[in-house]
Amino acid sequence: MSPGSYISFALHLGFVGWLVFDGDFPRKPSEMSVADVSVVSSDLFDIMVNNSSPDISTEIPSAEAVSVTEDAVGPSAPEFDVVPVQVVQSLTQISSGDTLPLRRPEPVAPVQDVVILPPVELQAPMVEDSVQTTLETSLPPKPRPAQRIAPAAIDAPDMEMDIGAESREAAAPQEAPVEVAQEQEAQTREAAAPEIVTEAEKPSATPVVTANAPERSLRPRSRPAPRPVPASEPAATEPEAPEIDPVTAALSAALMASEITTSGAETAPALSAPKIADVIMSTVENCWSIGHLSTMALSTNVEVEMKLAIDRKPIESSIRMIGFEGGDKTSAETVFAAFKSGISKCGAKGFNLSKDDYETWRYLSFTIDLDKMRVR
Amino acid sequence: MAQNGPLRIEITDGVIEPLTFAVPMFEAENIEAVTIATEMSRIVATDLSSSGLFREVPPNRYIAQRSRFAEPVRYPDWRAINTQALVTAAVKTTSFGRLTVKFRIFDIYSGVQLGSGMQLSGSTKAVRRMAHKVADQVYARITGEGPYFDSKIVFVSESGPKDQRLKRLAIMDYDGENLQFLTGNENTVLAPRVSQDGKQVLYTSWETGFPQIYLLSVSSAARKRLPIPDNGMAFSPRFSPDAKRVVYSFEQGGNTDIYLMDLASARSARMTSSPSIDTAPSFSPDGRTIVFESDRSGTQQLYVLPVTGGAPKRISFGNGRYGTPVWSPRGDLIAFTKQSKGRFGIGVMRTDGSEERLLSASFLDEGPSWSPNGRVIMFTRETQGPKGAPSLYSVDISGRNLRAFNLRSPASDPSWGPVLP
Repeated sequence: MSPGSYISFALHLGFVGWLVFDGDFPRKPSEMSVADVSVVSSDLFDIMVNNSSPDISTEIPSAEAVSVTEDAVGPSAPEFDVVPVQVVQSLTQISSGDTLPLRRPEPVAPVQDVVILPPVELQAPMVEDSVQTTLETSLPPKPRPAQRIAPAAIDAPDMEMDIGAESREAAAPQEAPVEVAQEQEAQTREAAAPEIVTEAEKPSATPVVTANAPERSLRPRSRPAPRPVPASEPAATEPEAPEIDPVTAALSAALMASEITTSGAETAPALSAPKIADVIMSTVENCWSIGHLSTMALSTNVEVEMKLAIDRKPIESSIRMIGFEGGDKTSAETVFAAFKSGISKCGAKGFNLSKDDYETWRYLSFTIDLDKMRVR
Repeated sequence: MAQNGPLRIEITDGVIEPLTFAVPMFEAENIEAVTIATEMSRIVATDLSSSGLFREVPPNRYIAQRSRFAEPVRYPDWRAINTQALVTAAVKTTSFGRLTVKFRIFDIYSGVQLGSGMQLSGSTKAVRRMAHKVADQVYARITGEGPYFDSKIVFVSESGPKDQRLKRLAIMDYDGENLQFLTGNENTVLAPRVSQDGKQVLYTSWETGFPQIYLLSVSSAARKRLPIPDNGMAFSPRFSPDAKRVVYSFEQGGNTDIYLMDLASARSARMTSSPSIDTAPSFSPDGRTIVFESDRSGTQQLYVLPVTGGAPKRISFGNGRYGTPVWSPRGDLIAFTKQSKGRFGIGVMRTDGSEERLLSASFLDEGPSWSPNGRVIMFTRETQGPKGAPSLYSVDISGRNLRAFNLRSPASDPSWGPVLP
């Protein structure tokens, strides 16, 4: 054997001895660290996770102390012991046979922020005249009422000028339907004749108005309600009757019938102020929509003034609120806006009024009191 | 004869019908905003129509199908189709995921713009919220009421057969969208009540085997049981307007009374001590008074009681039984459930008990909850029969516009939260 073989043998022997007596091999195998594994459902797993998660808080959001006056609720009021209760949900509780499907609360998505920017001047673009008068619509051409959209704008009447005389001239075109004239004639004659007029006393076909003829009929415009007359009164009223010559009365009746025929063709018959108010009130109440108004607005009384033009339509620029009560400014403005829009809509075709009474209905003052309706 | 002064006219009535409106599709100012503009305009129109105070003019009747935001409004065109209000808007997105919407409201018959235009800015993920905000502004400006479209409702979502119903808390937008669950359905829950800031919910749970009251954070869904002893049943909680106190019912030995808890100190004080069932308390908006139901007179009636103490005062005197009173957020009315002649209905009365009106009636209507503006009431209606199920309904306080919520599962116990900031 060569010296190298002896050296190699000695080294191998030493290495084996080191391994046997003090090497890296453990003298006994270490315990394997394993976990007990069992099959759990995903729902059960959710519950386990839920239990271990800290989302079950026992903290009440901080709030400032509020003194509770215990004396006020009587001496018998017991005070509870303050025992914060820990909400615990044990695994055994969950797995004790609850076979119902269990669900975790889902995370609540945060509410997305929406910022209302400072008001900016987004004023409505100016409407040019050409846009107002020249309509380009995609609808098939349809005849439209001339009053709604005229081919050319009609000049609004100057509301400041006295147009008493002009208005009568403007009503000159007499296109009275014959039916209306006959109806009025039949009613007025029968109702208004003060006495029986014989055939011989009838006016001629071309009546000549005498100098004594009254300019206006003395008949009441509507049939007066019968009223009890005291015994002493007839003496005061009777003297007027003899002044009317029967022929003159008949002539006046005929002339009045003719007058009604001409003026009533374009407008409604002349009415008293209360009747005119009734016409306007009825038209507005049956037209303007209040279903969208707030309860506060419905309990707010609003005063509005406005003017009507000679064509019996509202002058929008004249509609203004002059006062309110029973509510706040916001509710009053809400009522006013609804009324302004409503009366513009209701009067778009003109109220059914006589132009003869223009001075009566030219200026209007509205008291809007919807509280009674709200209660109903 | 000329009138001396203006002719005076008193208007005491009007036509009760919805106001007609049009919402042409919002203008998209860039190509990315086209879809959003379409969605937003439909949401605004749906919101307004759902209120019952507005009626949409069908878009197919529009004379001008599209209108540019900057263009003048052609009032005659809109009058021709009987439109009373018009909403125009433009939508624009930015590269940072932001969305801007600007809008105007027009009174067609007056021919004027209502107020100034407005702008909203938000995330492109908040399209629905921004549309609700636009609708809220339109609604508020035209009606004078407060808004309520941009709000959330917490309720009990139910599933399973009728005799083994699973109930858990859920939250959704006022229109039923974005439904999410706040609790699991392993424990029966009842009667959620949202705080006025919308951040917390009180509810009753059978988690411990008998009813106890829990406080839940809406944002984290973390919950805590209120420190009320275990030797009785606690239920029917409700926040004070400032959310610092809770009023609730506590049953012990067959007697149910009303207690007031200060959340900061966790101390409770007894408010009633009648040998009767006093329950369902609700605060007035000023926090000074509560209204509750009690059978101390022999039948279930409504009573009001100052928070500082005193003798309860009965306010309901009609035929039938009254329960679950809820004070309006405006303070003018109290909503309640009324049982009479075998039917249940939702009604309102003044806070002194006058002017009682029934708004609904069916086999079972109960649990009213007010919208944040005090104009709409939501409640639970349960149908009869073995397959009967509860669902949510809403009704205007005028008694009109009764609407059902089309949720996919039965739902009950709504609690309407505030308008979101």
